[in-house]
Amino acid sequence: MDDGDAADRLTRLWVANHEDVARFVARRLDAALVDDVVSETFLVAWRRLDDVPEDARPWLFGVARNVIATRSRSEGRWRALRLRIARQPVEVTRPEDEAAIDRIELEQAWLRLTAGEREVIALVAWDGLTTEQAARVLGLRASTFSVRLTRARRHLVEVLDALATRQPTPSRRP
Amino acid sequence: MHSPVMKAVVELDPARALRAPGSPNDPELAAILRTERRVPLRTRAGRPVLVSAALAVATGIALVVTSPWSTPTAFATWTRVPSQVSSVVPVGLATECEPMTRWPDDTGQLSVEVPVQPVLTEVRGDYTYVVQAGEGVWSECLATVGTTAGTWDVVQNASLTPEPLDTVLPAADGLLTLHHGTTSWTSGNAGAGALTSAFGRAGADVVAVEVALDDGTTARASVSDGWWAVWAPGELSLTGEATATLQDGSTRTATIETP
Repeated sequence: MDDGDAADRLTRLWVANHEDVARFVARRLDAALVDDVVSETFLVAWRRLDDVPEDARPWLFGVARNVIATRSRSEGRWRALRLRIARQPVEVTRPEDEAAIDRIELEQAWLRLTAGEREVIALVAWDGLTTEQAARVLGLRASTFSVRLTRARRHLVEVLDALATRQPTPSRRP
Repeated sequence: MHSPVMKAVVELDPARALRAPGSPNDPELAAILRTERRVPLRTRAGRPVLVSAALAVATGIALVVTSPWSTPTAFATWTRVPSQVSSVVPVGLATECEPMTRWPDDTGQLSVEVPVQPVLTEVRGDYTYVVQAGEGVWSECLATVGTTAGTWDVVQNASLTPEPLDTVLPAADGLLTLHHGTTSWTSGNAGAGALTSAFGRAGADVVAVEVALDDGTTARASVSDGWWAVWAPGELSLTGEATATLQDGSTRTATIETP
């Protein structure tokens, strides 16, 4: 691939995936760092353009995840990749069964999951990846990812059930 | 994603409202395209220090790379083969490698305590590495003797696990990875930069594990009482390839995954 073709391809990747990568990073880092990490991610893509697969989004997410993980390290400490949650409620129209899930309890339950559990759920629920794509982001086999997703989802339901049992009425909003 | 819970989780997404479409005219894209594409890079992904430096040059920003990841003398006394392996923590280090992990409760306060006990201790050069395990939790601790007599410089890491540690075990000839990751260590005078560690459970027939390093060499992991552990200087220095030797002398190829 000559430099002209390479520039064209990176430009196409940028246009097609910039927003998705920015969201991926924003879910995991403070807003002030998003642009830098997105640029670093696409710079890696530029340097390794021959490695970027046709289905580029999971590959780009994997690179962004490595960039984030490195930036999250600090002197003398390990830090797990942390997934943020929305600070403000989002107005949505939900069917009755989903409305039964209290947002506060859901937030509490989310925070009780491990970082690994949050990661596998977020890759599907937030980043919109299929099981196969999410597995590629984490460098796992699809079957391994599916097992982890099932466990994480089950744990989330268990925590929600426990919270609902403990505080059935007062915490629920109309 | 048919589960009501999963659909509800979507509402927690902090980036749902973010709009950041990419345009061919974005100056950030132009800055990347101005950089040299064929700069030699090491073969593994995740070299942001190099990447940052290149980007800064491209945008005319002076940058002094003071990467903690590549100190020339990093872990100079580290050895490829551990000199000691046991489940006993050296005197004085037992309290430094905290026997209690703390986790947030519903309110975010660190009030939930889960005890951990040493399951494997190994020594490489001046460095003692301790793996501890408890009910659905593990911790790791890397230490070296401090500059003051009787003190240790220590870094620690801990994580909850989705399942109790004893419920998922490898086959007799297999390895299970509980942790594989990189950190930096710059505390105290002995700070030496990045290191990559990994540990997990070893099958009953596994007596030795050799792991591949990114420089083409190998290091011997510690194996004791159904646990294995290894660490090596450098960022992402464990390639994930490993060879387990069994009691009968045969070998098995294994993969150190990133949980």
